Amino acid sequence: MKRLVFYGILLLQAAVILLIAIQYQMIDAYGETIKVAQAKPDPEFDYGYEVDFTYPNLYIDYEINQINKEKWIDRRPKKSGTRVYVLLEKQADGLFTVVEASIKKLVKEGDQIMLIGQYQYEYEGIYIVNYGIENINNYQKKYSNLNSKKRVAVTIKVAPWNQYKIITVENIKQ
Amino acid sequence: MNKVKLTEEGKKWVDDGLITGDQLEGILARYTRRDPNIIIILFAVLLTGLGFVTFIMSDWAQVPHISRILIILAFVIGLYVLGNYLYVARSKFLGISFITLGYIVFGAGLFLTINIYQVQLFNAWPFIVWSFIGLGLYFIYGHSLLLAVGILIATIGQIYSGVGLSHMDWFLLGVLLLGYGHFVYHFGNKWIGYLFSLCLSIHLLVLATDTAQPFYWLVAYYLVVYILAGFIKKHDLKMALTYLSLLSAFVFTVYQTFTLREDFIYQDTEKQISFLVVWLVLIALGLIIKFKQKRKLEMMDLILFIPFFYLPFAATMALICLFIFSLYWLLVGFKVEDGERIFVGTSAFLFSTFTAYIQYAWDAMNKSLFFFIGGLLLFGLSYLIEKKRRKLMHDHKGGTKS
Repeated sequence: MKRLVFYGILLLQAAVILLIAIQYQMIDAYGETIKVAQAKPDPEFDYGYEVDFTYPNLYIDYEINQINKEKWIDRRPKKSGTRVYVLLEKQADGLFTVVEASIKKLVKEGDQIMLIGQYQYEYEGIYIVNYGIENINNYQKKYSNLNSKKRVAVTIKVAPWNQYKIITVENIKQ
Repeated sequence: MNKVKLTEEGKKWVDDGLITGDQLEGILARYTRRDPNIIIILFAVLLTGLGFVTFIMSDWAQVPHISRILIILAFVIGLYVLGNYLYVARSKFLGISFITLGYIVFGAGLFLTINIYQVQLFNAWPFIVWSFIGLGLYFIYGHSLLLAVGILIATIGQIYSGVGLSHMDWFLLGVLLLGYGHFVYHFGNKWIGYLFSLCLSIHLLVLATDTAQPFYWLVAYYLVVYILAGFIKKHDLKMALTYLSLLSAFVFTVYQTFTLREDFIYQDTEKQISFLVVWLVLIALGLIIKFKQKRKLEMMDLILFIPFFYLPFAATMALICLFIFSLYWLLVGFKVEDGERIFVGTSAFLFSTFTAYIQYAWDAMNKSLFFFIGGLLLFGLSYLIEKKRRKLMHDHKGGTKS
């Protein structure tokens, strides 16, 4: 009996870790590609785009992180950490922007894409939502040749089970 | 008493003719020497575990490639298998250490996988899996080190859930209460009992900081623990839960003596009728149980579980209750001649005094006077305790003579 439990535990541990890794590999096959832009800097301050691409860990503020209060359907989230659903739609320039957001599951139409995010806080009518795509792994200096003075866009594959894979980060026109 | 001291003392007893040499050996044989190696192994586990956890943050590990995952998995399984082999064939404790190490490396590896593959966490599920596996390991090996590590992981997960995700995780509380609680109840020793009680207090604190309800519910949760502790048959666990729920309520009351002074608390928090109903039922239950169990002296403990938020002059009331509680424990301790009670009462009294000082005298009084009066108070207290002790000794001697 205890022997069986021992093997069961070993198997369970291997399965949990491997499942995450295998799911990640499967994003390529089942995921949908989106391209989202970095948020524009606040015009009141002249900071520009503040990402140092030589760091091993990048943090990027996206346009889709900031959701205006008019975009929310029904109630807006109150508690930090609330799970929220955000619908994105492709614009003429190829970038995806927020169409609507809700604390309930949304129905997507056409080639819209639904992301699941986590509400953080509200500031002057802007609701900040994180998706888990903000931290980008740059340990292999993959993106160190990018120009940090210019705006970047990130191409991401989104799996239906809410897992992401960063495909590329590139400079775009402002 | 440690064995070296016992041997030294024992020789004197033999010389004095109190016991014979054979009896001394019999006594010494009862006290097996604790293996000093255990401490070394414990630290070895701790250091290597920390080594693994920090290694996982290294550049090498952060590259999302399946090879990293396979290497870490090989490590985990290798440590478990090695631990199991050592447990069966060599030293039990060494085996348990390697299994604990494997358990820690698994958790670290799980978080590494989650991090490099960018899995978004909406609840503390990795901690639930991790602490659940700890339950299985304890079921197999039954060693208290595994129990302690598992309880700690369930609690770290709860803190993560409360701080990082701003909500309390019911699954983790369930694993702690039903899973670990079961093992602690049946097999836990005194220290595990205290660890479990402390962790339970932390879980309840996270539950109360969950924004869904006002902060004063915490008092009701600790009161539930305190009342339930009265029904537990195992003495060690009962004492651990009782003391820790009292300690938690005491700390919470100290906290309230500060916060209930602020006006904004009253503006932002509503006074719920439902809380009052629940609290009244609980406190009545507590009083009835104490009465039925003929433990009337302990009824005063319930003074710490008053929801001061509902009272006028709340902060001052809280402070007064702290003093009543401490003095009562001191007095009862003297009366029933219970050293533990006196100690608890003295410490509680000191903390209450300091709390009062910080609030009332910190600004107005010269800082040196603060320490001066504190010191004098301690002198006075020690004088009282010493006087009582001498009286006890005197009575005792008188008793034996006659």
